[in-house]
Amino acid sequence: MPDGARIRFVRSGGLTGTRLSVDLDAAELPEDDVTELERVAREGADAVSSGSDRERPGGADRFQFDIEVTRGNERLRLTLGEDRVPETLQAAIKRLTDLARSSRRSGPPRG
Amino acid sequence: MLRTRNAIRCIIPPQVLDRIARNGSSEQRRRALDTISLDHSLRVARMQNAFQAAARAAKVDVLGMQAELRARRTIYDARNGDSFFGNVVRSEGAGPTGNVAVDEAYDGLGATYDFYANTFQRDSIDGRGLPLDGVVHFRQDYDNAFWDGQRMIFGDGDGELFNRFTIALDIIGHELTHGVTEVETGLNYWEQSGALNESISDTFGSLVKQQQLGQKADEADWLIGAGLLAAGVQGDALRSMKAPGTAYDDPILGKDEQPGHMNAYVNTFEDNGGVHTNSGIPNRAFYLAATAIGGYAWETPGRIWFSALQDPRVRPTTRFRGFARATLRAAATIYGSGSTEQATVATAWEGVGVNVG
Repeated sequence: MPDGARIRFVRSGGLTGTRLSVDLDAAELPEDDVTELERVAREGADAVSSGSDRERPGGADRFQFDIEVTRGNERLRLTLGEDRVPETLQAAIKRLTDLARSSRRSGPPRG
Repeated sequence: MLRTRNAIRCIIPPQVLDRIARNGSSEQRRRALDTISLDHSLRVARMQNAFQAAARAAKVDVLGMQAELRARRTIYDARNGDSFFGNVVRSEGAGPTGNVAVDEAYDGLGATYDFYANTFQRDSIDGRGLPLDGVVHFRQDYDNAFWDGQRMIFGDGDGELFNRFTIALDIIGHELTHGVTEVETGLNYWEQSGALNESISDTFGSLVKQQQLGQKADEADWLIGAGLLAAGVQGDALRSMKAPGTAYDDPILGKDEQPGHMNAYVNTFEDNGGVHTNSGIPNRAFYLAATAIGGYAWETPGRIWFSALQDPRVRPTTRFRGFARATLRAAATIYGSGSTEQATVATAWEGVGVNVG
C-alpha cells in the first residue's frame, strides 16, 4: 500500500467544458490502480499527446484527465485524453471520476 | 378534334388565336383556348426536355436535385454500454420509435443535414453524402456527447446536473459541425485554433436551431445547450454567445468562465488549452456581427463565416486573428471590398479585442 501518497484528479473538457476534480489519499483507491497510474506516468505516456495527435479533430469534445500522484518529494503527472486511456487504467479513471462526482455533491467545486 | 387542333396550331399565328379566344363564338373560343393551352403545355414540355437533357449531360438531376440531397440516418442503441456499434433502432425513413433519445437524435441529425443542404447546398458533413450515424444511451450516466470522426455519440446525462444530450438541437448541430471543420480546415484542437474549432461548432449549431425555429438574429437567445441543464441547476445553458460568462452560476456545477474579450483570455493547460473557455471570444464576435447586420443570421454572417472556413489560407494552426482576416476576405469577395458587411464584421472582431488591421 502506497503510504502517504496523494492523488489529484481533474477532468476537464467534454462538450460541456465543465470541470470535475478531487484530491484524495491514494489509499482510497485499490493499490493496483495507484501502481498502474504511477507506472504509466513514469513511462511519460502523455496520451493527450503532443504534435500530431493534438491535431486530430476526432478528439473534439472528449474529456481530458489530468492526474498528479505525489509521494514524498516525488511528483508524477499524467495527462490522458478520454479516447486514449489505456485499458489498464479504464477502471481507475472511472473510480476517480465517481469519487470526484461524490466530492462535488458534498462541497463547493474546486478552482 | 386533335387533327383540327394540330392544323390550327401549325397554321394560325398566336395573335389570331388570341382574337378568336376573345371575340369568337363559344365553340370557337373553346377551340382557340384549347389550342393555346396545348401549345403552352408543349412549349413547357419542350423546355423541360431540353433542360433535362442538358442536366443529364452534366450528370445532374436538376428536377430531382432536392430529392438527391437527403440525409441517410441510422440510430444505434448502445444500451448503456461502451460499444459504438449498438443495435440499429431507427433507419432512414422509419417512423418514431417512442424512445425519446432515439427520436431526438434522428430528428436532430436530419435538421442539421437540412440546414447544410438548404443553406450551403452541402450534401452532408463531408459534402459527399456521408451517412449520419448516431449512437444513443452510451454508457451509464455519461455526461457528454461527441463526434468521433464517423458517428455521433450521445450520453444520457447524469440526471443530477445534465439531462440527456439529445435534448438540444444546437448540440447536435455543434457536434456534426466538428465533422465539417475536420473536412474543410482541420483546425487543431488546442489553444486558439481549438477554441476557433469550438466556436465554429457553437456558431453553426446555433444557426441550425435558429433556422429550425425561423428566428432572426434579434429573436434568437444565442444560448448553447439550453435545456441540457437539469432542473435545479442555476443556469440557462452551457454557454452564451451573446454574453460569455453568464450561462450558469451554480454551487455544484460552478460558474461559466468564458471570456468575451481578448483582455480576459484564459491561459490554461486543461481542456486542450481552454478550447471550450476561450471559444467565447469568437462566439461573441459572430453574435455582434449577426445582430448588427440583422435578418436571419445564417444568410449573411453565416455565409461569411462558412466561406472563411473554406478559405485555403485558414490552416490547422490558424488563430483568432487569422480567421478574423479570413472573414473579412470572405465578406469582401461576397459583398465587395469596403462593403457595409465587411465593415460590420471588422467592427465585430474589434469589439472582442481581435485586431484585424
